[in-house]
Amino acid sequence: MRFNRVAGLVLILMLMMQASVFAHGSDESEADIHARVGELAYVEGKFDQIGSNPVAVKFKAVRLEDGADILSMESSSVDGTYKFGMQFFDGAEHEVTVEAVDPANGSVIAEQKYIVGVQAFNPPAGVKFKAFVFLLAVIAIGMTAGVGISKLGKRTRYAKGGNLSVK
Amino acid sequence: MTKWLSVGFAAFLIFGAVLATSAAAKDAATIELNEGVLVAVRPDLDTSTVELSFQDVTNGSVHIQLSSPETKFFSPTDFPWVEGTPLIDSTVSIENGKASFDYMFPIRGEYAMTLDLMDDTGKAIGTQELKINIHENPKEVRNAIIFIGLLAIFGLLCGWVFSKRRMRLDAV
Repeated sequence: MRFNRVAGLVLILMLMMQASVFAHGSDESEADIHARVGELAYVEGKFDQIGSNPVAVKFKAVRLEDGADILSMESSSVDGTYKFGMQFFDGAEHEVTVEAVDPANGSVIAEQKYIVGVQAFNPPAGVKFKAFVFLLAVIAIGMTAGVGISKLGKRTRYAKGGNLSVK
Repeated sequence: MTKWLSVGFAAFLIFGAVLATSAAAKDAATIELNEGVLVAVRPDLDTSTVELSFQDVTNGSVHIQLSSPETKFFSPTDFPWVEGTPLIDSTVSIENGKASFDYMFPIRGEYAMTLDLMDDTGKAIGTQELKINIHENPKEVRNAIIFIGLLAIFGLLCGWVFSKRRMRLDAV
């Protein structure tokens, strides 16, 4: 009976840990690109009507929930095509901006924006279990020390002439 | 005897040539990384500029493949699914012997970066691997120590209180 109660408590704790992972959520229905945590996502396309001269291509990925710059880099393109591969490590919505820039004067010729929806996952069960066992072990070690201190205090007191009744 | 001497001399020459070729190949893609700046970067918080300086390439491009630190059994990170996976697979321009990109590193640990160098005509020059070390956010380490310490104190108090109560019951 007691074991069932403990097992139920552990299950509730595990479910609470699972729910907290999706606290910030990510609505993927509106996204132009669908990505998954742990995998590379490629942003590729082509700028039309930019002429035949080579252009610099600027790539920028921003996490929308806090406006953090995740990745910025610059490449070049002769025919207006581009391809950038990156992993979106946070299961939140991101905005990717790709700009075609005139290398001579730095002016923006064309710009394309993408909304990236990132599918989040629960932490692996093994990691959750390891964390749970570790934290439980810390409490257990503390508890053992507490019992030890209590027994030691009692023994010291009774050593001065009292009756030791600790088992 | 002369035959063995000539064979030995030829083997020595071949060995020397292989050594010289590998050394030359390494020198062709000498890359310096701004490790002094990256050592203070906090994962999932700071966006840092990774600067690559090329001694022998003035203009061209470099294909970057960045991989995250491998999984360690006893120290999981904030993003367990990210451990040991590819993070960047893109090409960056080299201008005046330098290339750079801004990146927010997701977790602590040693990142592996493979760089494939190309000159301005797109011809491959060489490949080199670099390591980037990112340390854990000191505030997170401090908070973890405080949390574990509080748990241990909680356990200690529970053990002490329950043990005292048991002693009182035993005395009765």
